Amino acid sequence: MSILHRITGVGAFLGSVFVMLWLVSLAWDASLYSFLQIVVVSIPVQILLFLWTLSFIYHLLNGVRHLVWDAGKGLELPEIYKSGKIVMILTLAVTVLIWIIKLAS
Amino acid sequence: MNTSDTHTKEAGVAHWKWQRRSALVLVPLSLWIIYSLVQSIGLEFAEARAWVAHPVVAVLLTIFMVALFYHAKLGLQVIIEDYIADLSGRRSILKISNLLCWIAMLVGIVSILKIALNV
Repeated sequence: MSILHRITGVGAFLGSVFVMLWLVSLAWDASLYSFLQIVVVSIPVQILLFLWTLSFIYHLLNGVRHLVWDAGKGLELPEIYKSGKIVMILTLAVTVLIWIIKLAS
Repeated sequence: MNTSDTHTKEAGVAHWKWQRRSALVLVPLSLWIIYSLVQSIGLEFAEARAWVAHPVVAVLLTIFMVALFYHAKLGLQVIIEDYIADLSGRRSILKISNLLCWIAMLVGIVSILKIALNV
């Protein structure tokens, strides 16, 4: 899961550069905003966006796991496996919940 | 973590601390940002701009830009130090990745300010 933490970290970074671009479009260029809107609602980008939220939330929750380890807790092997499973389940649950709320609105 | 070549031991300790401090800030902020951004898909230009211009949102987004791109700079540094053995190559790539993070942070903040001040 350590390599996954790095990969999802880079993914979260790349997506955040896109968020920065979104802010740039809002600040300077309405036509760039319209263009980004068209890109974002396309199906492939919707899937990419879902994967971005999944990857970011994984990195976030697994990061919390790292912070708990740094506090010297949860370092026994069975606990490490258990928290790993919890991170996986919560990642999926939180991501799906965010998108269900979006799709329902 | 290879800390012997491109920074000192003290810098390594500071790196470790700031990576975790920024992480603590980012946990609640990122959850809120990810949620808000997904919900914002499809908003009209003026609606999205009004959201960012809200004082609370503008301040939180600014903190997010600082914490996220600083955290990314530190994280990317660790990855680069681990995977790029060649020292001169490593230095160049570190410079590029640091510069990218600072530029992204700066451009993000200036954009938020411009929207919030409506200039």
